[in-house]
Amino acid sequence: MLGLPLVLYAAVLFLVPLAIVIRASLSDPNVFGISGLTWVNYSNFLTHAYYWQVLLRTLLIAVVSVAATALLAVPYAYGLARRPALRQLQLLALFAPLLVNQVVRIFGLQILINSVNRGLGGLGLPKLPLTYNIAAVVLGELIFLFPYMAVSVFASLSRLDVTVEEAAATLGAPRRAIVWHVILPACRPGIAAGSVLTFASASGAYLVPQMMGGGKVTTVPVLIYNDVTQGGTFGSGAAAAVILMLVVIPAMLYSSTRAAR
Amino acid sequence: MSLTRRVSIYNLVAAAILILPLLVVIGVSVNPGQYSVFPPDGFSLRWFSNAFGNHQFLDALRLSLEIALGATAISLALAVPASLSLVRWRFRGRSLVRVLAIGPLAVPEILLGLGLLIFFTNALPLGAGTVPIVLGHALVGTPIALQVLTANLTQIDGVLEEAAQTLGAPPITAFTKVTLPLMVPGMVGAGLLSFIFSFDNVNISLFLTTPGESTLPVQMYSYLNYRSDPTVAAMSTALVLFGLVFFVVANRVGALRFMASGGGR
Amino acid sequence: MTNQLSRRALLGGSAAAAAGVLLSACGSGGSSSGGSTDKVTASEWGGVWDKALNGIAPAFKAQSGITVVNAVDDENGLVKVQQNPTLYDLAWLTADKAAQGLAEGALQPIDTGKVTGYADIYPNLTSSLTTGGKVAGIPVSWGVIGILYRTDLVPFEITSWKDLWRPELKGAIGIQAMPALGAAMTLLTAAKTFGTGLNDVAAGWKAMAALKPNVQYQYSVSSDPINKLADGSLPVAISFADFGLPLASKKVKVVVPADGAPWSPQVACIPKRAGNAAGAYKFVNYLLDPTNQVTWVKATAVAPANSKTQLPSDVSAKLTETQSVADNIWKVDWLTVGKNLNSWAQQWQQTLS
Repeated sequence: MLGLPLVLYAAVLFLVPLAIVIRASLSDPNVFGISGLTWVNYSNFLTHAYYWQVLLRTLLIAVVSVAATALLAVPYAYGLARRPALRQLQLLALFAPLLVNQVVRIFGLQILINSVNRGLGGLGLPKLPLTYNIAAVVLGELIFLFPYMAVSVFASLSRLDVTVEEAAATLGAPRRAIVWHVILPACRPGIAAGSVLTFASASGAYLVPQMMGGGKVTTVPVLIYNDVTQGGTFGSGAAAAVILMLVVIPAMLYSSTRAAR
Repeated sequence: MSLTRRVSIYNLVAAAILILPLLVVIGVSVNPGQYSVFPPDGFSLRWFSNAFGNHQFLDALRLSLEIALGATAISLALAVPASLSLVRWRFRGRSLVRVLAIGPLAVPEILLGLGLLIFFTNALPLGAGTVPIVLGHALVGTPIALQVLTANLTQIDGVLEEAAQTLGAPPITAFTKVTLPLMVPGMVGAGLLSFIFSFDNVNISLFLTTPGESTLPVQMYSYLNYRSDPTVAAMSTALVLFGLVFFVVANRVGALRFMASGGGR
Repeated sequence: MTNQLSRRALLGGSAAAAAGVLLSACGSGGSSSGGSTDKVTASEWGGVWDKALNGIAPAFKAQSGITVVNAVDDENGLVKVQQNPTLYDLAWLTADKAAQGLAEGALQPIDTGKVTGYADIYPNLTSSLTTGGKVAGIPVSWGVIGILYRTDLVPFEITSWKDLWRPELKGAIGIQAMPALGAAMTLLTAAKTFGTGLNDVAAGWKAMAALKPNVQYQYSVSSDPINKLADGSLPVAISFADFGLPLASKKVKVVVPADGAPWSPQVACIPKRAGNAAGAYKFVNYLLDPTNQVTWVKATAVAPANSKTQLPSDVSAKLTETQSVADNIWKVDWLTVGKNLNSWAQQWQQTLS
């Protein structure tokens, strides 16, 4: 079985840390290190409306970011596969930004938004509502996730059969029908795979929500980060992570199953 | 044939938007003052010399490249056979492979890093150097690669390979001559994404660095926490230029042809 | 080893086996660095600190024969020391983590008799790191927190912390986000300004809620507000005061209010099971030497802890920590800060987002 190496690798390197995280989620939130055995981290999370809001916000941002990314990246991948002139430029636009340090990329994006807003203000126009709010977080996610979605879809389109598309057009099929019945089905495995990658990234991201949201958009990873990097106790952060995973993994699994169909 | 027939206008606009923040970073990197503003107040290359006069940055860059290459190699070695088995065969335990191949993506990185730290301090001999970081990055790089490879492989018709076998080609030949070449775009995409995941990672690396060994993203992140000067922007600009050179060379030797063959031609 | 583990993990349905690994993980963990006397392994924050520590190491080696090897752990130093108790001989920590590390038994109390010129360190710095007669760490340098503001964007002169609550500053201030220490310092500032003192945290939370309309955003990377002051999108920031000095050309004024200010030291700590504590003391003594303090300050742009240090004027011009500032810094109870940071982070998130 060719999947065996991966299974062995993940069984050790993933399941053991996972067990450690689950163990940490049951530890006393007031005691240094991992000790004690208690449900209090879970009950605390699940009985406060505040934490439910944070969880819902996290999922909302992730879903909207993935949908927006798919909407914009699928045509890009299709364009790249179908009209590959200037392909160096088209590929470079995907990969070059990834070589820039994440914090600096966010700085660049914010400086850009500020410049545009200054320009709009100078013209007496309203400013873009993209500073330190959920919309800004989604925009940041979109910029970060775009290459992952585009590459996944492109990989599934690299065998796109132009003749089917051309035949459909020759037979008089309207453009919309071609998109729905020829192009999108060909993209489907790529969209599904790209959604898995981008959803995981968006729901687990710390830097983008924290920086683009200006500390005002609390997501589950922000809670986790606050707990783990301070004080040497990991209980509440680990519990929040386990709860997040219980929602995220089934969603990704569903999408992944569709990718391989 | 006009250019618009050969390249989509949408793609040109999207490419411009994707590159725009990059131009801001390049502009920032030449600002002479100890802060990052755009447009720059003047022109100075002092932050470039600061970045490259900094041994810590250069050592970290070398180390990060090594780690990213190692992690990518492991990721592809694990994900390529796994993707074949997932797409081509129905077998008991397929869903187990799927769960294991997705799980690492779903654990918030900082906790994955902490879990790996606790695990490795007990399982690996001390002084394991960069091995823990490579293993940790590959843990996330593998599922990334697997997703891209699966998407690619699903669209490759298994019938072609069967046809080759029917015509008398041994299964190995049929695979290497028919399917493997078609998998190259997926492998290049998967490899690039897992490489970049590793090359850009802070949260897992932070827990797994050992004395005397730290990665470039970790160094840059720490630097930005205490200095507002454009040194990291300069370093980033230099990396993009390196990437550009790599790209041009790769294009020359034809490596990109696979990546953008497109249209089934 | 790995083989054996993988088999065990697979056989035991993973969870049970992992629990076994865990037990040992939570126990001692790590193997020994051997306690060799010619090497000091240190955990530090990276970036500018890494550069400075590596820059000073060769001269120290020439004098003492001891090699300093650094591990870049950012803010994770204490966690790393906990997990790898025998790996490090020295750990650079913020004051809250130093106090907490000592209280939790991860660090050993400092034998001040082994620190040359301990009495020359500013007393405000050393006293704050001493709890019940036990010293958590040795401050080697420090920085004061102040108010940085654009004189062209703020309609009045800011002189005190209380000014930050004025309605003219609606949406104008950048403060540090949790879980960074700077956020906790902002909370203590609110407590001190509107309550009975630094420990009046309840008053602090009320004042933070009142400050919320004035908060434009919270930064998580310290260079972020400096860049935003420079480009004019942010009028006011609470930050390490020294960070504002290069922005004089951008009309940024730096204020350390006369009623005192919060601050943060760079603390050298010795892990409980350090193999080469003697070497660590030697290195710290080297850094505290007035001549070497100048080198350290030049490389890091923070203030010297040794009051006997004579800074050249071009170096002191880059610092806001004058003698009067050193005399007026607040007596922060770092252990309380360290112990509460976790719950404060949760309340902060609910109060300010």
